[in-house]
Amino acid sequence: MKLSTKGVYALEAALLLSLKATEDNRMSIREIADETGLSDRYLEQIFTKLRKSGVVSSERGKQGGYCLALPAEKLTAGSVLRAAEGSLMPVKCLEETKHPECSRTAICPTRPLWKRMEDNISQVVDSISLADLAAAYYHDGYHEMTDYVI
Amino acid sequence: MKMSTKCRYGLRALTDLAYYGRSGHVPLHQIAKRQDLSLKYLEQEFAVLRKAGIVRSIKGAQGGYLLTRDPEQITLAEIVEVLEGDLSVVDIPSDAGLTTSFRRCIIDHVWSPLNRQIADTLRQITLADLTAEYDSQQQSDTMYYI
Repeated sequence: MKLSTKGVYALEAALLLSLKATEDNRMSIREIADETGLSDRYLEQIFTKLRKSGVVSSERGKQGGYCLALPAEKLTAGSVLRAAEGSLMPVKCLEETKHPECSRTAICPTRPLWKRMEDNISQVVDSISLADLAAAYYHDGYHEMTDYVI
Repeated sequence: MKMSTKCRYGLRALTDLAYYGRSGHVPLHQIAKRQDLSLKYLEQEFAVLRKAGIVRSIKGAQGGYLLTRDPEQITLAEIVEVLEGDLSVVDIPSDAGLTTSFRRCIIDHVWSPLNRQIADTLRQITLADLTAEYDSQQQSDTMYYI
């Protein structure tokens, strides 16, 4: 039961954009890769998903690059994670749009548990916005920490 | 983020065992049939669960499995820990020793609270809760056929 690195990295990149990118001052994948320490090829894949889901917007050209598509207050950690991961459902059978209802739904003893877990996950990730994270980043002094690579 | 097959099937089988094992041990092939799971797979899973002290086996042609304790005393946290290795939803990333200030901020404000929340939920739910759910489903299922 694990979130993939896609979701983990997407949230890091989104936090960076909320801190440093604006519509007039977009960031390229290269710059995002430099600041987050993530691979630019992987970031390309992640940003394609984030763009399609309307989390980030992109502009081509010399001044081009990425910024958040909405104000940081309106983007929750959950929306970024869902865009990158496809869904936050702990089991496939809860994704009813993609998977027609399983024939065992009515007699499955564990389905209610998965639903409860999904509610729990959503509760946590939907209650924190990128603006909250950005505020914590400054308020709690993360910006003063030096990044280190062992 | 997906639960592993091991964990999904294991929990289904254990719920079945808790439900049908109230009056004695249950042969694995019955669980396999009712839950539509492969017997081979269940045999492997139950070997792990037995070593972890969640079930015990009765040997012989009429043998089968029993829970080692009442279903009220077996939490999902215990089962998931055995089947998944740990309870965390997110592996705190530590690839190549890289840590950025962004990563640390997100660990503290998203991943740690998320892992705690899920672990708490799994500690609160017992096999008896799943069995109760199963019970009500079985009853409504029976009504359906009347």
